[in-house]
Amino acid sequence: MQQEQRPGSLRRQTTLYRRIVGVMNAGFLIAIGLMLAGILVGLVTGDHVAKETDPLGDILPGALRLRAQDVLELGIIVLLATPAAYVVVALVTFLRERDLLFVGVCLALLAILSLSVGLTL
Amino acid sequence: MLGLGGGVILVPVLTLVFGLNLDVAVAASAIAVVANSVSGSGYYLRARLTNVRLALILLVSTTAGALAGGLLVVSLPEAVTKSLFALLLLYVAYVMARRRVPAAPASSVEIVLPPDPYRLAGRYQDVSVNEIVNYVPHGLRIGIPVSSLAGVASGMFGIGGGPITVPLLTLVMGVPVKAAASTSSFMVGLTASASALIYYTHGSVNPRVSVAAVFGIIVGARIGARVSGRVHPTRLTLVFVVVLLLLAVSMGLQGFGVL
Repeated sequence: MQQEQRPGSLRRQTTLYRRIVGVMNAGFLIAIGLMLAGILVGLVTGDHVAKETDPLGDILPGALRLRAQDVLELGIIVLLATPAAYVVVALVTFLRERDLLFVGVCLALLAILSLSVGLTL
Repeated sequence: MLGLGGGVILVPVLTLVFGLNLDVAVAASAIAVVANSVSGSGYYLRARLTNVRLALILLVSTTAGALAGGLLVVSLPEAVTKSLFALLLLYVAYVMARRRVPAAPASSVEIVLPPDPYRLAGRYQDVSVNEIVNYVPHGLRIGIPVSSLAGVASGMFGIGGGPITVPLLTLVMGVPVKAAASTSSFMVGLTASASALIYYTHGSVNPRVSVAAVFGIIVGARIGARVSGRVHPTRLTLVFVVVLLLLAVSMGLQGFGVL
């Protein structure tokens, strides 16, 4: 006998999936937009994009000053942060559902990602 | 087109054709794999092909593995990494060569699904056979440790881990192949992003190469999606296996200092 998903479970799943897709689309569009803007700024101002990255702390101030390299790198950072953002969205959704197992799973994932970020600082 | 995320081809091409250092190629590939996952997973999520709950559980060990792999690759000599990558390419070629067209899902037959204590059951409509497919993944005790190996491979080689995750999900955990490919595609984004941050620390990220790789992989994926419907899958697989074998030999020879 096949297991059918209950309507409540299906509705919650739909909400979670819709939110994740929204975060992915937004993150991707912002990241690509920043990368294109970085290329454009470089072409217009003749600002050189180096082969090496700037320190993470310098990227946002540099991007705000429309430095081509930092605008482009901000795009890369937004792209890399997008998967972490959908884990946060999943965490909030599971918290609302009081699904403690998956709250723990999402927290564990965010802890690993935080460790990864911590190693970069 | 082949469901491998692009990194398997991108890293050897960047090193062998463009002469980039392996760490720069791996970093660019990991960033491009994230872009491919983030841009391509939306369709599969909307179609309910992706099993998010299963992905999140496996991602704990996969992401930890990716972190370890990222730390390992920046400390290993490049020759060793290239030799290991050559072995990985041979493995992927072997998996691809043995790939069979999956049988139509037997969802019309009344089957007894296993217990589902973690509510990991998946359900989607397979439009190719116009059937609703129900499944319950099993074998988490094997799946979790093995998926950490996919993470290590992803972290070391910037490939995403799909060549290990998809066979794991289908052969060990009983996930239908379409759901497995979609779930794997979703997972590689987070896995690759964890290791890409390590490459940032190590100074392996070349912004110019990485952005070119991102646009290249996105355009390539769109072209692949259009072309794949017109090319016979067997012929496509054969060409891919030959290319992988050539890349494996070249990479292996570089690893041993012959090239």
